[in-house]
Amino acid sequence: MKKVFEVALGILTAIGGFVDIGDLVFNAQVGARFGMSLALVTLLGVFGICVFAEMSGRVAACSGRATFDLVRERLGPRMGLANLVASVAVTLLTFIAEIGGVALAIMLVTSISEVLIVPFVGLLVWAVLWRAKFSVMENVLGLLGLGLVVFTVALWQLGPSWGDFVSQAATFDKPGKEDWPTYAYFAVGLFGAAMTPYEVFFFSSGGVEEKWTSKSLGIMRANVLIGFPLGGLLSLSIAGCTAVVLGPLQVDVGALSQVALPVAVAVGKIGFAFVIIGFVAATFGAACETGLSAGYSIAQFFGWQWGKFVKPRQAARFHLVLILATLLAIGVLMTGVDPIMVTEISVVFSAVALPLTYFPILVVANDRDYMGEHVNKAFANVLGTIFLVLIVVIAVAAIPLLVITHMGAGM
Amino acid sequence: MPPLTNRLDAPWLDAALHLLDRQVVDVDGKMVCNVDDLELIEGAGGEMAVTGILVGAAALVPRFSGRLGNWLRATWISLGAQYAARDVPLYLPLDLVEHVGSDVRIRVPREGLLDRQPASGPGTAQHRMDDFLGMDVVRDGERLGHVLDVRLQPRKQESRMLVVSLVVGRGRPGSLLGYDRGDFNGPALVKWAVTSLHRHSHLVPIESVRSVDWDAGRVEVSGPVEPLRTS
Amino acid sequence: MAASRHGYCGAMRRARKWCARAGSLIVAAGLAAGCGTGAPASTSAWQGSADRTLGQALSGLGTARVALRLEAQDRAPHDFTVVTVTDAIDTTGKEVSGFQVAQPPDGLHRANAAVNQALDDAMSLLVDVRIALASPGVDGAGAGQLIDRVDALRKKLDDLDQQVQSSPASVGSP
Repeated sequence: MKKVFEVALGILTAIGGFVDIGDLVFNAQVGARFGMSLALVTLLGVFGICVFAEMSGRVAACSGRATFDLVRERLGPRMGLANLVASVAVTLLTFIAEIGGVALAIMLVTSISEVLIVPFVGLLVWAVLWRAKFSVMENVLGLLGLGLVVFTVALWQLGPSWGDFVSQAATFDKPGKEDWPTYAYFAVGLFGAAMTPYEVFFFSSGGVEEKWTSKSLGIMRANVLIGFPLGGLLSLSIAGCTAVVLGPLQVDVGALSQVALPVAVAVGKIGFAFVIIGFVAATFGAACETGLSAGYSIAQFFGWQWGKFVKPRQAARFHLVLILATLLAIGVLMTGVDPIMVTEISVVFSAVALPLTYFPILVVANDRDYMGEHVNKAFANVLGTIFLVLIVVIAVAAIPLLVITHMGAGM
Repeated sequence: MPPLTNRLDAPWLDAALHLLDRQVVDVDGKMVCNVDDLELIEGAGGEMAVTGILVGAAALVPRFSGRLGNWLRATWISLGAQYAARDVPLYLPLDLVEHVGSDVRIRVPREGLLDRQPASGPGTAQHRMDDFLGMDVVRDGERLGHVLDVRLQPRKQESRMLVVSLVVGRGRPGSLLGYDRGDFNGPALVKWAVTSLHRHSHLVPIESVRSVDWDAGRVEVSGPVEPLRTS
Repeated sequence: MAASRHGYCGAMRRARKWCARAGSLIVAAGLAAGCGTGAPASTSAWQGSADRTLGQALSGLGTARVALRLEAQDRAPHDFTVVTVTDAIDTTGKEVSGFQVAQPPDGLHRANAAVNQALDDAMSLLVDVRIALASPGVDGAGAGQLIDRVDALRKKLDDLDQQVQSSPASVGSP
């Protein structure tokens, strides 16, 4: 059982990247509109985040340096600041959305107004960030987030034509009704969601929180190789479910309630209970992940003490950032902004911030001062370089695609 | 965390590559600050040495050079117009530093550690590393490029690190990555790009430096320079 | 960073120039698309937006259909099916009202009216579904009737959408 909990960090990180509130809806939308024709993009994203999370985890284990330390050391204060502003903006937007997302998930089964739920959720998130032990947080949220595996079960129950799924995934084509730029927009969104920068901020800082050393590399790799593929599986299952149930009805998924429909169709009320637990845990987990990531990156950029492995009073500035972030989130959500809209925008913008985050990781993973004997092997370098090129292409394409496709609505 | 190589035991150490922007950690493993800048003292005989770590907004903000940097700096000062020495950074003397690796470790606890930078002694001039970096280097009337990095000689027992040479090259991004210093193993594409951008970089021994004009940001050099080793 | 300060200055200048250009392009594109003006849309823009809005109505009705079936078979909590249809009304309503305030091309007023009528039908059917679901709740027969109405309207919207795309001028003519 202890072994199971050792991979909780990877699972929680992946949940924040693949099935947070924005991605739940985004994946469902992709499934309903594109079937499985974008499945390879998700797989590619899983592969890419595995490559870079492994690198950042290795740097953290070998040197105790988390990702934003590297960003400032290798890019200097000026470019580092540019990255900080961009990454923290994306991370905070997502944090705001996740708190709203928890509220949306609760609203699916109660009729309490959002205005009443949001402050309560915000305070609860902050209390977890302030008081809960890191290991308790990741174990509980990671485990409950696995409730979303019910989507995989539901897909099995729905019994789709697997041959069709495979051929849709394997051929490079789009459904006739959609145009290529929209297809590309969703591909960029999926890839950007899989590789959002706060995942490596959280994963590497979490490694420091868990006091990894170069002896922990095995555990770290297990986290990467179980967590992220699991995230990818959940994301594909959601897409598969909506492809079967909502796709034929031409439903364009835009609300969380629609995401849950296929599970209720396939598994009934028990499945639905799992979905709600999964939704709440995943969005709550993503809120913790993004909130902490914002605190981690700001503290690391300025050299402040950070982390939950010390008492809050010893990392006072870090906790101050968390408090301000929570207040900001509650304030923004009280204006009634749609959290799902917020994350969909932030996913595409995060694609723009990607190169500035992943490049320093790749460089430092080759530095013997940090890594000793654990520097990148040729294999990691080749993969890292390929994905870095891909990331740059996507960063350049993201905003133009957002504009010309009206955020995926079609040209 | 077992310490990896300690740069203080190595024959040389590059200020920008190995020291600037690193995390400072105290004797209990608590984080103190980042190396926001370095104090550079010019002695009466013209010799230069790094003597301390500069910390805080007063050290960091000027490093956001350009228009943004100037604006940030003015804003920072005006936010506390009533304070004297708003522009004087906090200071960490170099003799507290025990280890330079992926972080900078000091031998004391962090409580009450940082104080204002003291004024320099008689006959010496106080500068900042960041002002030195980026200066134009001119050799007998011909431009060599900019100061990309400053090579220091670490002496563990002393409270200063002497400047032994300057890494000079075209003002292009990427020098912070260290590939031009040749102690990296990959990835091939990045290495190729950086080394080809910096193929005209030189190592200028401090003996060849004739004068440093701090106001104009210009270093006059004469005598031999050696090409930078790239393995 | 300072080591290559001058290189970055150049880069920043270029970046600022680029930003200014990109900004003016966006503004120009906005003006070209007729944002914020009461000028009639071009035929193709109207077709595109009619397609999107009819698609959204189809989507809302599709969602309602699934919710009705779940309620009839008692496969999901009652509150959830109500929330689902409320959400569908919400998202569809936004898109529909966005379409209805835009000025259609001069030659397509009749077609526009036909599309608007269909959209209104869809909205009121969605509201009917929600009212029936919320209270008193639907049984198998009631759900079946509503599903039949949903299917009929979805067929109509689908045909209308195809006509809008192929020959917009003929839409709404007797």
